[in-house]
Amino acid sequence: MSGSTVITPTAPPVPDQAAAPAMGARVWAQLGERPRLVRTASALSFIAAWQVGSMTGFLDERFYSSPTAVAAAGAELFTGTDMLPHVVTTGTELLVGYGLGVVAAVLVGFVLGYYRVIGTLADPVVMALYVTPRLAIYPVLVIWFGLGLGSKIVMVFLGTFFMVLINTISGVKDVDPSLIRAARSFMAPRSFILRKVMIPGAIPSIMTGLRQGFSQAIIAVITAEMFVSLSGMGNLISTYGQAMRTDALLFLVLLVSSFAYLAIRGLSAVERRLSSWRPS
Amino acid sequence: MSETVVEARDVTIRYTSKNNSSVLAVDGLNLSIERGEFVTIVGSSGCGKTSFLYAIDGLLPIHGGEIRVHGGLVNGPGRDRAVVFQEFALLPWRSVLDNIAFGLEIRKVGKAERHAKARELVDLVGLNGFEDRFPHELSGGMRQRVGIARALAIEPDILLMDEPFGALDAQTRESMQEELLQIWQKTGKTVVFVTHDIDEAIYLADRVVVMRARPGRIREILPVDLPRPRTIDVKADPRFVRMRQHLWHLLHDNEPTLAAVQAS
Amino acid sequence: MNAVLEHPVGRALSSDRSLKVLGVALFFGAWELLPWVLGLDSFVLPPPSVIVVTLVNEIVAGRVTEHLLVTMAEYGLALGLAAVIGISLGMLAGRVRVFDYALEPFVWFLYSTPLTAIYPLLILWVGLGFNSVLLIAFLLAVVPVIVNTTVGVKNVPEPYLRVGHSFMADRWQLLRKVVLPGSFPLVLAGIRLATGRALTGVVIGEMFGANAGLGFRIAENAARIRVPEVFAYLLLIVAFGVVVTQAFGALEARLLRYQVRAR
Repeated sequence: MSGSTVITPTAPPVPDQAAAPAMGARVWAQLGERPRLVRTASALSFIAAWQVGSMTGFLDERFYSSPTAVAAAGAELFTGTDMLPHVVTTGTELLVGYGLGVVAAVLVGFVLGYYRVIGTLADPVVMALYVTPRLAIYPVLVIWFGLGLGSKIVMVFLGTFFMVLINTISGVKDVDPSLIRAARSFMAPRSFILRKVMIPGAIPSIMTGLRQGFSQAIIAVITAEMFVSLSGMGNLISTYGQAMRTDALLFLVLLVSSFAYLAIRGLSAVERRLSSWRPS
Repeated sequence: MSETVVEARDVTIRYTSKNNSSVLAVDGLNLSIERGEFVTIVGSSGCGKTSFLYAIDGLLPIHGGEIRVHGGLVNGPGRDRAVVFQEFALLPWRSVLDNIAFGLEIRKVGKAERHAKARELVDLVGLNGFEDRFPHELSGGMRQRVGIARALAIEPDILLMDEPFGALDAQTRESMQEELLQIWQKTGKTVVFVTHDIDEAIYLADRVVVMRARPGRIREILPVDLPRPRTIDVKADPRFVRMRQHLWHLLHDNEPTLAAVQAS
Repeated sequence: MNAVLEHPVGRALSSDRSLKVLGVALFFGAWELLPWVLGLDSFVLPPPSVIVVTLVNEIVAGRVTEHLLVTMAEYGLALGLAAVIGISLGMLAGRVRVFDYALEPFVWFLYSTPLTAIYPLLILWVGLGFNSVLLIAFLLAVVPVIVNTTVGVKNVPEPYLRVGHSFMADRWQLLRKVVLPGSFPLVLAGIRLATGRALTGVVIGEMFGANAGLGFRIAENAARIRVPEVFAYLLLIVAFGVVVTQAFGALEARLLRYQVRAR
């Protein structure tokens, strides 16, 4: 590459005689440099429009609630003690199912990624189950494992498992073969290659799986609880939905999605740190 | 009967570097180019030669002076100019034929007509049989033939070439140079050709414009009085060798000394 | 939203055909034996043979076609809408930074919310059945299309744009002839993700609040504890997913045939 490529002449040239850009254009250009401001303004104007809409009666409050009603419902839920047991239920299902799913998927993923024959044998089944909406099996899980924690834990497990599995397999397969050859040529034992070459090489991809798997896990637990359950956030959402308590429902949705957002953000931050050695 | 087609007067080009400081890419550049002339611009990296070329095309705004093409002020790309880009810049999703026809398509020339024109150019640059291939299926030399054909397709008066052969291996590069001269002689275009290769600059040119960096200025304009048509043998001509030597020194005297680098 | 959403399927696929067939055979063979080994009744864990027979019975009894058609219609419509609207929004966000930032909170909300949680609301807003199924499938599917198109448009290589400008393309031509095809590989990757998410949306929507479709049949049969029937419809959904994925893979390979084959 020649050094003369530093310029980036994509913008059509501005004729010299052009006067200073109009006020509107200048503001617009400045907004282009202020992502945070624009994001906040955008979200706030949505909320404001929603509030105005419901206050003027343009939006039926029974159907669409309003920001103030949602906030009030939130205050009510937080001060009361009704929500706590549901949080505990959902948290337990999520953690147990996710934890088991991750461990199982990483182990199986290494086997399927490392041993080519086994990997190929399992490939079509893994792919078929991966591309299928696994939540569809939940009704069967209820029949097998009951209405309580068991069926949800299995559902969360399945949601997590396939996401992490696929990413682990592709991570293990994508470990630079020349690194493995190099290690072999130094007569490194298998366990050394596994610990020092395969695992570090596959970690960025596994981390991607952990992130994607977690968002699957949350979807799985909420959906399962909403379908059939005795308790849990999904159960609560479903109950409020049936009672047409739009305000409480929306508050719970916001709560769950904020949690999911923060968790995914956190996991992506870890992911970026762990894969910072990779060329982007 | 000479006629000036490109006239650059006191041209200044700035760009904003990554750390937000303004850098003078080209400073007070004066140059006029005659119809049918083959001018090469040679200089080291960062001497502003590509910026200047883009400014002639109108891809890049200038911040001082003026550039006139056929007497009119340049304020954007025009129908009378076409660029052959560095690293080919072919659109990978288009076949050879559709890449060549790109400029015509933009001008809303009908499909039959633009393909007929593109086929003529396929002939001219010797790509027969490759019309339906995609760029990634071609060798580097073939890709740049497509780049040249694409530029010629819109029938420009002036061909602006930005290190077109820089990405090619030495052998391909020499045969492409020879072919380019043949095409030039056949079509009579005015060519402005940017390169950092001294041999290439002399071999192709009627005049070699030598630029120096930081800020980009013309150091010297060297007329090349070697007879045409030229073949590769001309590179052994003593006049050629002398010019090469001269240019080499011009360009390398300009390199900052170690002391200067340490001082800055 | 700088990260490209990647679909790892393509990378993990390997080629050994006969091994794969053997793998499928082993899987179904083991499953066939499993109820017998565990001593489980086929009403609890039906072996594949029972599932296939049940499916055939359902088809013969005329209980499948109608629901399959409903699912296909909802799916096709949701995916189509997601592609068209997602690409449009993504192109706009990719070209206009302010719009990109303004859109981000909503995209992030859609991306991190388990959308089934707002399903009761969707039913309230657009009614139970076809509309709400369509809406949730669309909302699930549109996100990766928006995100990937935005990134794709932003990352169209500079030289391509330069070529467009130099040959005097106007705004619209630049968009249609350079930016859109230039971002195509990423757009398609987004749609590939959407194919899976739309199917999830359709099936869940049907399970929760509908009176037709394969998902509805699952919920209906599960409520009567007819496990073999549930598995029959699951099998159908798996087949649906596999067919769609394969078909899209073939389409993608055809559309991107100009690219150098990776690896």
